[in-house]
Parts: sequence; structure tokens; C-alpha cells
Amino acid sequence: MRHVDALVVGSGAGGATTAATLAAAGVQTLVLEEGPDVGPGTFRQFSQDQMRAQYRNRGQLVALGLPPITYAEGRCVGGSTEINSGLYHRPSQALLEGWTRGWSVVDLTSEGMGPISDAIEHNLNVSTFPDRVPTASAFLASGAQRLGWFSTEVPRWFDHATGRRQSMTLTYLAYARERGAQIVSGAWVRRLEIDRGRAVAAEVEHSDGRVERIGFDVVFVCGGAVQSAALLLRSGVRRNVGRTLSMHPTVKAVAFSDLIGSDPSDVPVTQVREFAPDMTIGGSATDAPLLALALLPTAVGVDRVLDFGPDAGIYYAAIRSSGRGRIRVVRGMRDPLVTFRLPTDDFARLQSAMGRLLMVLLAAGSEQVVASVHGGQPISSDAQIPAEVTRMTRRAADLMTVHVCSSVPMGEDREICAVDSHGASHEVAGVIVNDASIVNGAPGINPQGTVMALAIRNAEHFLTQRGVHPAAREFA
Amino acid sequence: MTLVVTGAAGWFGSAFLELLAQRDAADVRALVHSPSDVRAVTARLPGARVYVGDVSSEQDVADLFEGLASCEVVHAAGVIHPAAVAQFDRVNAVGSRLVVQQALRHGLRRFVHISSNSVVGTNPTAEEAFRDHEPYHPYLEYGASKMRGEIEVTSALEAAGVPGVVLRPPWFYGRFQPERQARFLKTVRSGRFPLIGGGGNRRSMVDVDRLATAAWLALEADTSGVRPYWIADAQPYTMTEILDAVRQAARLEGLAVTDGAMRLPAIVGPLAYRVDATLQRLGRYQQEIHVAGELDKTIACRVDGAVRDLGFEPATDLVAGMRRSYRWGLDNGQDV
Repeated sequence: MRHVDALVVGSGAGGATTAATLAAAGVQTLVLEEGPDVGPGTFRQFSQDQMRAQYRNRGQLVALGLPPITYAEGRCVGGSTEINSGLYHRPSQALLEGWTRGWSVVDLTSEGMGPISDAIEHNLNVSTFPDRVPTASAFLASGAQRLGWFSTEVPRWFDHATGRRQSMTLTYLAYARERGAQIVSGAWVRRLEIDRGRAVAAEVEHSDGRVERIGFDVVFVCGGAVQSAALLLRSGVRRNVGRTLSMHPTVKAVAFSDLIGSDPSDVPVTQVREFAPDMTIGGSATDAPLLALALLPTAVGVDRVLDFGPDAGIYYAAIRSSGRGRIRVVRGMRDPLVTFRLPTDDFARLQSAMGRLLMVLLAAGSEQVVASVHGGQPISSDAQIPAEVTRMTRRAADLMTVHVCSSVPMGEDREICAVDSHGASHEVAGVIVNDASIVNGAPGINPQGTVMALAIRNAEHFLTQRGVHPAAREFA
Repeated sequence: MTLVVTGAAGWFGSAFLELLAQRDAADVRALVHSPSDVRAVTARLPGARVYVGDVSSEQDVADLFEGLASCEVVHAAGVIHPAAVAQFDRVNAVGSRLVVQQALRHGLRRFVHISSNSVVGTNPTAEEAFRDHEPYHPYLEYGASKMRGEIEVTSALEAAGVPGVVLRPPWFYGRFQPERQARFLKTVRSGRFPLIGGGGNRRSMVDVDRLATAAWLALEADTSGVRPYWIADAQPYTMTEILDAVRQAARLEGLAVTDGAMRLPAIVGPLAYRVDATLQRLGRYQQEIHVAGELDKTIACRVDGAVRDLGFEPATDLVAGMRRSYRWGLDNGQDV
């Protein structure tokens, strides 16, 4: 049986930063990624081909409930960082304080986290557009301005000189490789073997069907909120695991206007944060197939997209939900069963979010706006908003999310937490969970920056406890 | 230039006319609903020409504007607790359309429309407060009729290129209060107020005298286009804070106070709302049930837009305001 010092399961925002931190400090590190190694820039962002290659289940995952909520996950080397919009927020002080209060997380301050975020922002070239934002983003900003709502350009990790997204494959994974980490794609971890209260090995199924056992001193579980919880459950680690999945339920609407000026390489960077962190409005895509998908449930034919040409965009409104989801493993099924219960108050807030979304798109100068709701009708005036909001019942709603987290809550309160303040399992030794699973609750921001900062913090804590000095955080 | 005021004998209208008297407004036409209102109006603003009529009658509204070459309008006529649901649309929507149409035919310079929080419903969370621009989400039939009224006014003004201001006040307090508000004060003071849920929901309130000042400021302002503003006290209050302020005001006015309230379980709110909605669908309106359905809701707003654009100064002392309410009630023979 092969043996490594540290096994990292998953290569997304959590796994990549973990691997880079460990490898740079001289720890022998093996990263296992279930998905393929596609390489950045192979497919156009949000394209059908990309969904086929780099998304889990072609981007069609569902948290069951009334209404069901579709969500997407990356399944490739680099994880969701290869497919998302690349928007970046650092965790706010209020968010960190909330974790200390609500989950008894210790040793978590903005003084400690700030320098980590500084290094991440340097390494990923987190920045705003050098001159002006793309037209679809400017469109949303103009609507917000007319209504007196605060909107802002969210920075993203992007190299404007080369036009390349600074996803994990180009940054932390490349750095980890340079420092000696090995990254194996097409490797799915079935379960962790636990011997006398300590995780000792992983049972790995390779894409060619080969099954292998890999021993380790420590395993970092970084498969994302759904997959990490599922792996722990399959391995018999159950206490407080998979019971508190949190998310930002999201409604969408399609705006038609020649001011949107669709650009396939467009990245939506404007966020309306007047009502943040409880409610955020932003843009997602102007890609024709996605537009068609957003219009599918509505009374507007999909061919409307073809008739109108490219001048249309999908915009969204997301809320921070207090609802909780469950992850269950089902014998004989590889993917876990995910359910989510949306509380009544949250549904009312989603209706309110839909109203505000329609209003800002009309204020921006849309000729027509269509709420992505079953039977949704195109509207062109504020007076028509109530009818569309009323149409959005639990049965007619078409909800999605891209941010799932909090399935393995972190903190010292053992009544509600599965791992300690630095991600180490309360139940089993040798297991550290280090991804969106430990982002407690729904943060109200794009969580990638928070996931990365937490993962680096926890990996460094692991090193320090073993008397190993972490290397410099900034890439040389 | 003639200033036309509708709803001149109402709660707001009374405070506004008194303000006009203080500002020596000379050329004012006032519309009241009933001949019995005429005396009160002329007492408050002796120079006013009072018209008795129905705001939903084309003829009555035409008479109100008859012969005017140029005018400004403060349109406050509306019905909030009608005998039957059909009145909502007739008065609040059709009436608004008739008034703005006639005004535009008579050299309208500026239009101030008194609307309501009900056009945007209740807040999605107890922590949030409405901004000036919010999507319509009308609360039952009253809200729907006030929304239609706003839309009639806004679209007519925008089409004609005449500037206007829509003022959205929440729950009033202060002088000139109607009997229903006197009953509210009395039930709180006697410990019989039906407190639904924990009382942690928040409500914005507005001192009617400040609202009158805001309408005056809206007339004087040089804002262009048509846009809504919230007019309320500086901060929303929790229901518990409101009850405390009322009791404290009563004590300071030397009235006997029984502490406490009639505590009702949280379920009563949604139940009353459902009964209210069902009755309204059947065309019937029951004031007590309507009010009970609304008591546990958060209806909170921000006034920074009016402060910035109109120079509005919101009230900050609810106890002082409630003392004025009690005093006015006592002076005018109300059982407060």
C-alpha cells in the first residue's frame, strides 16, 4: 500500500490552497481529484462543452424540496474555480465574529485572517477592470443608480494583461506541483478507513476501474460542501455531518435590451449590495443556451432568444437563507441525496428579491423582463411586477444556487459542530475538513475568498502544531 | 397660482390646512367630502374656498378646478377604512386619475400625491427597512387601490412632463386624530391592547404635523420628474417601544395607566390576515380584523431620501408626539 504524509481529497479552492501550503513547507502531499484534468481555457466559460467536461452531472444537480433548488459544482482539477465567475470577497469582520458567537470558533480574527487574504489577493491578482466594466454589468449598475441603490464592481481574480482567469490550476495547484505535490485526476475516494478512532487510509477508485488503498498520516477532506460531507458519512463519521447544509437560494430573470450588448466572454461583475448581505442582485450570463434554459419554464418561448438576437442577459437575486439542507448517502448510489427546506419567511424574502430584481432591470431600461418562473410573462412596467411576484408560488418557483456550504460546521461547540476551530474532526483523529463545508451558515458573499483564507489558516495551524514552519504565503 | 387641496378635512388635510394658515397661503381651494366638514376647514384656513364633492365624481372634480389658469395640487383624498371594498378603487384609484387629469387641463405646475406604505406591503425581514424605490407589492385591496392611484398620477405626470412628488407615510399619530386612533390610545392605556407575537416587529410611524410640513416642502422643492419619498419618524420602532411610549405619554399627561397588554399567540396575526383577505375578496371590509392582520407585521422605512432632497426633518421623540395626541384628544372630547 502506497503511503503519503498528507492526502488531500479534492483540488478546488480548499484543496489547492491546502496542498500548496503543505507542499511549500516540505510535507509530502498527494492530491486526489475525482474529475478530469482539463486545463484552463480549453472550453469557453459557461459553454455546453464546459458543462459536459468540468461540471458534476453536466451542471444539473438538485437539492430536493418544495421548491427544489438546482445547484452546480465543478468536477475537474481546480474544482469550481475553473467554472465560476471568479468574483472575490474577503470574509468580513462581522462574518468572522458571527462564527465566534454562534459556533464558538476560537482564534479567528480579522487581524489573523487579513494577511492571509492579502497574500491570496496578490497571488490571484484580485483586481477590478482597468477601464470600464462590460456592458451587461454597466446595464445593471445604471438601473441601481436610477433607483438610488448601492451597487459596486466586485473584484475578481483575473490577469487583465493576458486575459486569463487565475483559477486554481494556474495558481495554487501549479505552485503546489512546483513544490513537489503530486496531483492525480480521475481518482474518487470511496471511503476513509478508520482504525481505532484514527483515519489511516483511503480506498480510491481510479477512472480506469483500478481500486487502490492509500495510507496517510493525515487526510484533508476538500471535496466541497456536498461531497466532503458524503465522504465522511460513507466513512462512518456522522456526528453533526451533513445536517446543516446552507446556501444562497437564488431567483433569476431575463432582461431584453440592446444596451446589454451580449459578449460571450463577458463576466458579470456588478453586484447591487444595497440590501447585502441578506439580499444581493447580480448578473450571471448572456450565453444563448443559458438564456434559453432560463426562459424554459416561462410563457416566453425559447425561440425568443433566437428572435431577439444576443441582446439579452440573465440576472439574479440571491438571499441568505436560514434554511438547512441534509446530505444523505444512499447505498448503491455514488452521489448523495441532497434535500433543502426553505422556511416560509425565506420564501417571502425570495419573492421580495424577485420584485427588486425585476424593478432594477426595468429601471436599467429593459424593453422587457421575464421572471424565470413557471408561466412567467414578459413585463415592461413597474405596475406589472406584483403579478409576476404573485405567480412565483413554491410550485412555480425556479430556484438555483451556486454557493453551498456549512455541511460540516466548524467550532468548539460540540453540540452543533463536526470539526474544531481549525477543521479537525471532533470524532476521528487524522481528518481535517478544509473547504466550503466549514463555512458556517450562508455568508452572503461569494464564498471562494473565505474558503481559501480558511483553508490556508487551517493548513498552517496543522503545520505549526507539528513544529513545521509554514513557508511564505505569497508566491515567489 | 392656486393651490388645490383634496381630502382637506381629513387627518392629514386638517394639519396641512393649519400649516397653510401659518404660512399665509392666500389662494387655496379645498375639497371636502361632506357639507359638515366645511366649517372645520374655514375655521382652520379662513381664506380657503371650500368645495363639497366626491373625488370620484367627474363633475365634482371638474368644478373644483373650474376657471383655474395655473395650479399646484396636494392630493390627499383617499379612503382607508371603507364601508365596502369597492370604495377603495373608486376613491383611491379613479379619484386620483380624475384629479390629475383635471389639474393637467388647468396649468398644473407641481403635484404632491399622498400615498401609503401599503403599496409596497410589508418588509421581508424584521431587520430591514424600505428604501424610496421598492417594487410594488400591495397589501390587500387598500394597497392595490393606492398603487393604482400612484400609477395613474405618475404616468399622467410623466406623459405631460410635469414634476411631482409621491409621499408615502406609514401609520400616523398626532393631532386631529380620528376616533380609531383614540381607541388605539385608550386600549393601550387600559392594558387591553392585543399584542400579537412578541412585539418585536417594527413599525415606522409619522407625526402628522411633520407630514404636513413634508407636503409643503415637496411643493416648494425643485425636484424634477416624479418620484416617491418615505415620510416618517427618523427611526422605526418595535411594537413594544410604541406601546411603552404611549403609556409613558399617558402618565405624563396625568392619565391612569394599566400596564401590560392582551397577549395573543403569534398565530392570530396570520389568521386575521387570512380572514381579512377572504372577506375583502367577497367585497367586505371589517376594520378590526384588518388591523389585527397587520399588527404583527414589520412595516419599516428609511427617510434619508426626503431628508436629502426635500430638507425634511423627521421626528425623533415618540413620547412627546404621543403626548400631543393625548392632549388633542382630551381637548376635543375624545375618550383617549
